[in-house]
Amino acid sequence: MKNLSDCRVLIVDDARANLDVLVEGLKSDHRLSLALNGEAALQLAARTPPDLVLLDIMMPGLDGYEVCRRMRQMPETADVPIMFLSSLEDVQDKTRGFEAGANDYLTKPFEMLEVKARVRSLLKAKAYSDAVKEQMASELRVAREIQMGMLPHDLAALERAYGVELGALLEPAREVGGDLYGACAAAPDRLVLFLGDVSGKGIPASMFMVRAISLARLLARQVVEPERILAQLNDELAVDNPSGMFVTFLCAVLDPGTGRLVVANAGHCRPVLLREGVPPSWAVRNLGTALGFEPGLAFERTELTLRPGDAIVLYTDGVTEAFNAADECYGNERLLADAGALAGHSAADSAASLHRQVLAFARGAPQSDDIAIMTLRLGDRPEREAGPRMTLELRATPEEVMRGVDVLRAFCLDLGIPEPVVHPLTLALEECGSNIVNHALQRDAGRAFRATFWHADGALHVELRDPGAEFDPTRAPSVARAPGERDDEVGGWGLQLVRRSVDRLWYRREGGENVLRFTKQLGAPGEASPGGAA
Amino acid sequence: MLDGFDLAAGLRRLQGNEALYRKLLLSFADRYAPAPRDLRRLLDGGEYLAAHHLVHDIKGLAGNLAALRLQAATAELERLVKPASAENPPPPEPLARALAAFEELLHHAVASAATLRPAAAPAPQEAPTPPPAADPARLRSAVAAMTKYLSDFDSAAADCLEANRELLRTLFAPKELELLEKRIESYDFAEALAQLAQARKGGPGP
Repeated sequence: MKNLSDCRVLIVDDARANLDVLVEGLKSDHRLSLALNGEAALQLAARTPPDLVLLDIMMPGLDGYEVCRRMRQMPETADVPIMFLSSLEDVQDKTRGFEAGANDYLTKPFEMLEVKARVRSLLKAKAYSDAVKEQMASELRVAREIQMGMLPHDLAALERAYGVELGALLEPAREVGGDLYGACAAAPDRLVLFLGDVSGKGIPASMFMVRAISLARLLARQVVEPERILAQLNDELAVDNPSGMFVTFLCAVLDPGTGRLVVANAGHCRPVLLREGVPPSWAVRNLGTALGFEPGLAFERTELTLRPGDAIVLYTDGVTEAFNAADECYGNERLLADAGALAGHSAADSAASLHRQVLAFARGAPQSDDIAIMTLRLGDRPEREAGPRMTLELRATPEEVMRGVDVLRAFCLDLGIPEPVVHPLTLALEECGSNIVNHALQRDAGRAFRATFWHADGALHVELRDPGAEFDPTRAPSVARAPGERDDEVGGWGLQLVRRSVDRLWYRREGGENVLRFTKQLGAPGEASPGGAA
Repeated sequence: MLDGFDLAAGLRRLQGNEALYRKLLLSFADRYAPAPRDLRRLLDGGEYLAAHHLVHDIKGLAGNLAALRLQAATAELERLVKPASAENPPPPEPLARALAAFEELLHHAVASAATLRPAAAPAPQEAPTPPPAADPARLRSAVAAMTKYLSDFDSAAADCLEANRELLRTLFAPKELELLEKRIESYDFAEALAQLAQARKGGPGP
């Protein structure tokens, strides 16, 4: 805390005799600056900010009330205590002084002892307030470091693993803010991105932000569908939320193999979709409800298919609600127009470029809200373009399953895949298809499921989607059974066979469908690659 | 005992600082002896705002110096002058009465305070001492300190001058130094700073 003898007191009075009294009384206790009129006092305060001002009221030129008002508007003196010393002793005069922003008012004639006591009291309060502010500023700096540490830093690792480009930045308006973003490697075919904006600012917003980001990272790994991630996140945030805070939140799940992007929105700004050769557009229509208000909310999903080179831009309202000095708002239309210039840029460049555009628009006007921007661009992976693809819709009958098997066999042989590789694939399709027909769809020939086959990344992939009851065969027990035991039970010998036949098998529940995918590697290049072995 | 002043109350206000009280009383006698004439001129010219400022200053100072009757008379005068304007001049008769009381008490207080002035001592007949030889490094340091104090309008400029009087004599002629001191004592820091800057440029300064 600042020593009181180091504190500077600015005394403003046009009567030199009054200055004589005050200088003599205070000079051994504090540093003193003296001004004989209001204009000189304001210039001096800007040049050498005081710790306290003793201010006469009736002076030629600017009177004390006006000097006080102006000091309150100057950053150097906005928080400096001001005490009026005046012979004006009416209640109205005193009231006017406090309304002008004074902290204290002492009428002349004064006792020097009282002046000194009040000066010491005001300086102590100022020193304490300064010390508290400094401590808070220091703690806020640490809080910001912790908060920034929660954001993902190694986006490059995710880019390599998923064949995408990512860009992200966060610029808090204060030392700490409530914006957040994250990217989560949930599964080989699921890259989860999220971005949010907590209501309010400062420490409360940052604490709510930490809670939201921690839960989101956890749920992204446990829950497949973005709308269910939001629903569960909302349930968690809405309980024990006495301060009534909320967060607008956007969650997107990308399957980089297919380019399929599922987006769910909880009251957040709509992301921008950038497709080459097409003007930028909103990626989703729905806005949804922000998280934290009440539990039990449901959220909608929007499905998109990104093509190589397509990008999506997620951002917080610090972008669209940035204001310039003329009080104009950046706004949605300007965002869409400016986003057109981002096409073809890398994801990181796009995020930085959009931020620069917002700053250029604001032209130095203070940033009123946090700004977070996250961009995702699908990479140009040659495998994805090279591989043929086929989708069948099969009715829920054994005959249709066998039709699917025949089509898969023909698809593989057409690609030059040898029979020893094709056989286990067709076996797996027959087994999984039968399970769907018999158990999920109950042999109801009026219902159907989809089978998609494609070749990519040196492997043959099969995906089955059915609208039946939720069932995850990959979690079925793999216990050995004695010969003669029934094997048509779900999760029985048939699924053991599938597990042995393919290299990878995984399941997820998505959009009210069971999604089962299996993959068979085709061996080293030239060994069993399409069009290779005769 | 000083007629027109409650010395005990005045000293209490200044925490018993007799030297300061004496200085303030003499300063009061010097500054405000012509006040009645100035005030009449302002009132006759209808300059009520300036008249109010003057009355207000005297009221405050009279209070601090414990000239209690003068303070009361000035308060009455202020009550008449404060709301006055060209369209609404103070009522003539009450103003004349208040003015007369004020003038009488002010004359009395000024005359009383002036008795504290010591008799003028005969001027010493000593030959003026030549300025000491300049020490550039010390002078530079003193001028830098003085410049800083004057820039901050800091009352410590007076102490700085006192501590470096001999050094500053190498920079200022005796009359200039006297002027600088007077400016600092009168809190005219901007003028003092300009004078110091001028001396540094033109004189034998650093």
